[in-house]
Amino acid sequence: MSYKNILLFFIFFTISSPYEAQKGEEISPYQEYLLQLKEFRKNCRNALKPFRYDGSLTTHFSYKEFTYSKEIEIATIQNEIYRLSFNAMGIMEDGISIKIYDKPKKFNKRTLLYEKENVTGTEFTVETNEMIEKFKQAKRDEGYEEKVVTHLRLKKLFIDYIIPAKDRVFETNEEDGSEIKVITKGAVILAVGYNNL
Amino acid sequence: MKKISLHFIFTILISSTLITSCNSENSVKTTEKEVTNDNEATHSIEIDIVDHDFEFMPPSPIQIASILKKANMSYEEGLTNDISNADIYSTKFKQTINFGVYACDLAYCVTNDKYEEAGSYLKVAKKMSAKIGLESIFQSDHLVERFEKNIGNQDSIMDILFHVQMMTDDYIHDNDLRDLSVIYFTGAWVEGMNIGTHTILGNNDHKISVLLSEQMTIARSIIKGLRAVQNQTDDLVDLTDHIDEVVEAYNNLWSVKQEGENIEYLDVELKHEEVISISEMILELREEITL
Repeated sequence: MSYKNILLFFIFFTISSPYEAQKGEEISPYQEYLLQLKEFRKNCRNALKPFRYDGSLTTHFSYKEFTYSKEIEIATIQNEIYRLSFNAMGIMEDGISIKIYDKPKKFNKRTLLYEKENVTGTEFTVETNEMIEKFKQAKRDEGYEEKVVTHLRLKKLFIDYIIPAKDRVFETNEEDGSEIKVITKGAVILAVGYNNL
Repeated sequence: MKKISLHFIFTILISSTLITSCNSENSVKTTEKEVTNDNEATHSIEIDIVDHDFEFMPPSPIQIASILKKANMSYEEGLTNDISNADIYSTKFKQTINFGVYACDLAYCVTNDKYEEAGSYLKVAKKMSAKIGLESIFQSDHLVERFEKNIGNQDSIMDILFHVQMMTDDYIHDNDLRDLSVIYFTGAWVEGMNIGTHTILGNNDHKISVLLSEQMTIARSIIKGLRAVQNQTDDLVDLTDHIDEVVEAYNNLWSVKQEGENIEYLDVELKHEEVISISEMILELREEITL
């Protein structure tokens, strides 16, 4: 083979490779998964009706070798009743726990307003009126006078996603024998709506 | 000569191919394989969404405007940011924060049935969005045309605004523009406070007390969000410090202090002079971001 032919081969190889790679990226399973999440996001928002849409947040996480949490703070204003719509269809591995508090996690003394264990491959809604009642009851139990309790409001909610520990899995690349760490991921979508009355 | 140059190019190509192969091998060793929970089992990661341990979901500009409406604050001309100001914002920071200001103004006009003004604010929001990389939100679904066709029909117009809000939320998430969203929301928050303060200043201290105590709770989260923005420009630091000053001044008011630890859960009734001092600070803050 002449230099000229070898050169042509390299030029073709160099030009075509990135395009092949790009083609692969367009339809990678991970991107398919992200597209699927967009569909879940629509369903999550639809579940807010008849409440008015206020915002939504998709929280991505990866399972680690230890349990950890991610916290979302939402503002609940004007003494409104809010509906929280959770879509955990993006979790198909070990279920996570969802806990809602009146204060952020840096406070040891905070009131647990709602909890759901083992959330995986599911969707559900919860409204804040039950949480407000629970919060007021907790304050009564702490000895607050009823005239104070009546005026108490939940202005913020702190939603904790507790992601359980999972053993790391390693795979061996058959081609070169190198070790590849496998990370398992999941995502939970939260949409928030307020009562428009 | 021709042979020498061909030989030279050939050598370069071989070398570069070998270098590329070596790099690929290195990247295989460091690449974390991904399991996406679908039935496809495993595959290598190509793109990823940044993990955040803490996130704040603020009320949308539409909800801020609806708060003002619910408090029976009537529409007042001249309170919103002048549309012509859009041309003077030359930095990305100013453009982003005023995108939020205009989003709030747009919602304020719609909730008060001021459709002609709302149409102008929609156009200016579109213009600002193009400057900060959000233009695709307004380009899709012929939003401006749909808006103009539905003028007078508040339900349809509100649906369009909610649609814009959802697309903005999605775009920000999908493109990991978290920092931009914090700044944009701050603009909407300041504008909501500005309109509220102007409208009821001296008329009804109770309403402004409720509005202020509510918004101050949000302000603390805004400060946290602004401090977490990666690119801490001078403008951004100044604004954060300024909001911090307002919150500090509010926390030091006698009426606030006397509530003690319950302040987080109560609407505080402020004295008239307290309302005046905080309102003045808010107006200064708004001037800082819009001028």
